[in-house]
Amino acid sequence: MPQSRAVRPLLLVAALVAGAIHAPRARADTASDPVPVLPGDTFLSPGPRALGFKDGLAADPSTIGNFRGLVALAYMRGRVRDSSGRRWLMVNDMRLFHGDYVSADGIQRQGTFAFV
Amino acid sequence: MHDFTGGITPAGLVWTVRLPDGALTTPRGNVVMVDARDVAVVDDRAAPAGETPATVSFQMTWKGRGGRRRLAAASPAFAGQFFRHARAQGTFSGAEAGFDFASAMRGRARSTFAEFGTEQNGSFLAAAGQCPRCRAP
Repeated sequence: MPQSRAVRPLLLVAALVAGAIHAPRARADTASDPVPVLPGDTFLSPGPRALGFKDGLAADPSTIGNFRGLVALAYMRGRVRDSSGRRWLMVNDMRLFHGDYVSADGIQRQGTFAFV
Repeated sequence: MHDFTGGITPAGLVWTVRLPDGALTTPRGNVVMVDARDVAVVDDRAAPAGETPATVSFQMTWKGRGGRRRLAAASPAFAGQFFRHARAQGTFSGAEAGFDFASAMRGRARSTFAEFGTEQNGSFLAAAGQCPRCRAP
């Protein structure tokens, strides 16, 4: 279960909620997949401690280990509508990773990834 | 409540999905844009409980300003050069059986906090450490 998580990806809520995090396992590994930075389905959520991010600014925003390249992170907030016209509050943790990584098979590769 | 995520691989890679190389563009050194369409995710809903296959699309722009500063940590080890100030905005949409959503016509989603820069970790950081002239990318 992910730890140190302040904002969830593409979370749509009709009202602000807080609670335990359950993360689905929905994908299979391939040899060319990146490896995680941290074990145990965990990652860091960098941000100002004044805003409640206990990891602080000096925390790796990458979820990919053995990585070198561009990183962009954004905690997003906005309004969306569903097809019935109902309004939802959207709270996202979105990240981009683009560059070199050493995959699970030990080969250095290049790729573009999104944390969604 | 809907909770769209990229899932977790058995190896423990959390919510991180591959994008086509053309999805990302950097028109200027302080700007990065991503245009991702129909990314396969799951909606991990509380009610009715369960995971539903879904897709999401997003178009986002990050802008950095104020020069770069070095950020680093020892555990897990990483080092990078990040803009002192960054912000992001974007539009989002998604769909699954029986539900879809899209950003409101007015009011793009905006960041409450953003980072943008370059970094290295793991074996790349170790390699840079063996070379005194090497620094974060």
